[in-house]
Amino acid sequence: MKTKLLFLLLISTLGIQAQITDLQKISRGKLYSSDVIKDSNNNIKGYFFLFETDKISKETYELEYVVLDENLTKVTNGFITEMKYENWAMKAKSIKVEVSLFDNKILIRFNDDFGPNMYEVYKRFRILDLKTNKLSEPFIYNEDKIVLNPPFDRKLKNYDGNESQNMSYYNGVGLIVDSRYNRITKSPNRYLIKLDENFKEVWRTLYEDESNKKRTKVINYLNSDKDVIVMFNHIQKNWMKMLNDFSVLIFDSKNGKLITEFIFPNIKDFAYKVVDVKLTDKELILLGNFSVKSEFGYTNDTDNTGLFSYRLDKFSGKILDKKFLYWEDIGTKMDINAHGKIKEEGYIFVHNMIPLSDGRIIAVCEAFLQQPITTNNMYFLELSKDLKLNQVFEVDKFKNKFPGTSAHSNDIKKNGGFDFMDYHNLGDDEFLFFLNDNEKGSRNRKKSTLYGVVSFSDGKFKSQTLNLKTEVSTISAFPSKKGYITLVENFDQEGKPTEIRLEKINY
Amino acid sequence: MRIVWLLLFLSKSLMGFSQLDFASIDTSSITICKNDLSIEFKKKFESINKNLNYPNTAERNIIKEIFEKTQSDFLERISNNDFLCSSDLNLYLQRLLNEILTKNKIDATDYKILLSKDSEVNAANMGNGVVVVNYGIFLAVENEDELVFVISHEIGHQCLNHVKQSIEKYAKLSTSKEIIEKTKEIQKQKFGKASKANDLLKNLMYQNYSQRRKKEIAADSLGLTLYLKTFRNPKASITLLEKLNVSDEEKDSLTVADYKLIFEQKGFKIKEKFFQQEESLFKQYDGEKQIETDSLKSHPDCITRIQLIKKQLNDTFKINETKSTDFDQIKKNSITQNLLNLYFTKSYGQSLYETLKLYKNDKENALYKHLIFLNLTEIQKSKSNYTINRYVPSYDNKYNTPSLNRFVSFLNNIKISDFDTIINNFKP
Repeated sequence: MKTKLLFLLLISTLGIQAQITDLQKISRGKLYSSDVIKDSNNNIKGYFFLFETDKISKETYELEYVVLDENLTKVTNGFITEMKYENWAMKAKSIKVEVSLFDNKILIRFNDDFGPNMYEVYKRFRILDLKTNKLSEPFIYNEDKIVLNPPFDRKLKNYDGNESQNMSYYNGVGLIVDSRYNRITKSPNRYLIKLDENFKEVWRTLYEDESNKKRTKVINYLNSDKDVIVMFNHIQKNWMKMLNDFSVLIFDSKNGKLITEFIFPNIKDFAYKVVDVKLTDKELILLGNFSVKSEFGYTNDTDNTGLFSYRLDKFSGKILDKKFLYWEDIGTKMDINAHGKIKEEGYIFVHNMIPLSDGRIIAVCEAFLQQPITTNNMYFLELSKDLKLNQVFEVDKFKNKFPGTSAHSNDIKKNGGFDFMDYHNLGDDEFLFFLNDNEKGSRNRKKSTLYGVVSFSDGKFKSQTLNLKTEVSTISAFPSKKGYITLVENFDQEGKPTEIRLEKINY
Repeated sequence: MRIVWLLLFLSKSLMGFSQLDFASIDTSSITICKNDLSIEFKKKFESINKNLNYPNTAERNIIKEIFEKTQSDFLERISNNDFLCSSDLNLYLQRLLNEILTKNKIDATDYKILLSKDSEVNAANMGNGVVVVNYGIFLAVENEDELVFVISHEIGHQCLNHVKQSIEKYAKLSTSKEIIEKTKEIQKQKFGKASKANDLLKNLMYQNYSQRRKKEIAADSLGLTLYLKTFRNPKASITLLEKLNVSDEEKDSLTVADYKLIFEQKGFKIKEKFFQQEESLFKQYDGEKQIETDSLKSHPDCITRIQLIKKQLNDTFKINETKSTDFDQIKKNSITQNLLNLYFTKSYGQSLYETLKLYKNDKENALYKHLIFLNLTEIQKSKSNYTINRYVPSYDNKYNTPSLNRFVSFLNNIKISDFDTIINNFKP
């Protein structure tokens, strides 16, 4: 959402300066979607935008892609032809992009966008080589092979031949296919497949045989490096119901072999969620949140138990150390009960758990209520290596409430309901955290536009609020390259151009 | 009001720098001058607008709209103190303008010359007899003859009515049957509308820019004819264009050693991290796709212009350069005056950057030191309220020199507390 807004504002600066108004209206591009290009350390390195520039035949469009660098300077652009599904009953409103970075290449995933919480269908991919700024032809992974230049076709009867398995660049590894959709593999087996830069298969590893309908692995990427790939495994029954059954699969990056399956303890009583995974030369640290087991197979928001940290040997999977923090043991530093409820604020949601160089951990938390969805204050916990609470830093912010709504925290997060925005790792155990401090969706122009910035430096948290209210404009803020914030200022005065500023955060 | 105070403060401070042999432009009558200009141009514009007689209503409305927009922009520039109000300097420029007009028997009634604070090496004809010379021109020209050729070129545009012609042509095109029909035809299309509209727009743009380049050549040609009547050195037309050709090149830079030389005093240390910048992913920056950028140049390149002028001159470089003490005095002050102009137009980053380049070789110069103090104070203020990027250029891998990017990193990376220290060190 945040990047989309940024691009809506940028579009005016990218348009061709037309001389004739009517012609300009016709020729103007329409923003489809955008994504930030991030490196493995969560740093923003650039931006990718996709615009519709023309409809050239039924369901077929000319699109323009634009790449900006971290300073918002245009790097390259180009024009491609793509299709999206359209019929009298249903219409994809746009084409969505998602990018992942590996070495000097960006993998761009396109899919027809039918709106929030809808299936992502008609996935296809292209690679942008940053050495030459050349964009590859489209490709998909279908029926166990790469298909270059797949035919443009949106006939439902041909869907199986035009859909792709999901692909992504994994940190330190390269292009990985998660071959899990049996409709297009025509096989019950689920694989992770590594492809080289010429799409030649380097290895494949079988992680599930779907004939086991009662207990199917659904795996999701957590982190990777040149040695290991770490995936979260959530078990599904009959391809529908998620079970309270979790593990972490650790694969060898070089050959795809499963090193170990880490089984969480006491699954019959507890549910687990891995929040962050830190990889060092020798170790793998799993950091997360656990709760009392729920009926629906995810962590229980209203009966949240605490945090966990597992330190494993990266190459053997052997547990080296494990620590737990129970909310009930936190003591007087924070008014939180045994179920993870903070007095007068709500239940705790953990956005990130960031390990520091000496083993301490910063847990970024936000209080919330499921019904009606309400997001309250933020809590930054500094935890010792032993997962004991050293300090807690509370940030008072706007309390967003959405009457008549109800959702699990995972869905609130997925749909951008929380106010925590992002963090920057500045190195040397210094961090900046960004949060929205405004009423979401407010149209009240008179209200101040507030953005919270929390810094962690020399072991101390400090909070500042950027009050971006002006009498003559409206300002929006977006996370930007390391240490900076992008401010987009739209002036009330007619004709005065939008100002886009990259401002370094003072802390 | 704030500007007036600053000016008073600065003029007062500058009085103490008489040993520098620099006299800043006398700006004491700025408010009166601004009001006079505003009244004069409001009257002028009213009279122009009254006489806009075009039989076609649609065309007239478009022309009126463009005139009103350009006029209101011009009045805003006056109100923003964009023009330098120095009686001496204005009289000097008016004298040069009159010289060209008189020698060419052109009625001077509607002509006026204004000096803008803009540091860009440029000048413009506003289309209503007004020639605006940017102060930046003084940084490029080396003698009065070159300046006179600049003014002659702009009078050339005025004599050929280029601005008015362009507006009229645009209005005609916008209301022409052909374009209206083509637009309607495009709107009727089911597919490929935008591409067709873009193609048509591109063609119109290319034609427009091609016309603009032709107009520049015509203004050079007529300008040269007007200039030659002044019996000044003909070679100035060539040397001027040679200078314009390289005017964008940065002639000096600031290294880390320079920052140490400038700022390391009273215990303050320059740290490597002040200049640190994350390495960019991107190494290659492409030009615009689908648009021929060469076709969108408003001016022909200087080499072509020089060749055409040489042809017209027929190698008659016999007259010597004109000596002018007035020009020499302005030229002598121009570098410093430009720093002040940049400061007063709130280009604090650029003013500081240029001042530091001069200060590193002249550390005893109290004016430079004072300007560093003033610019740093404003930049610190903007950094504190998150508007620094309004006054200091952005870091840019494509367009900035490494020296300018180093300067931008320095200002962004130093903490507010470091600003306090260095500002204090430059406090007069």
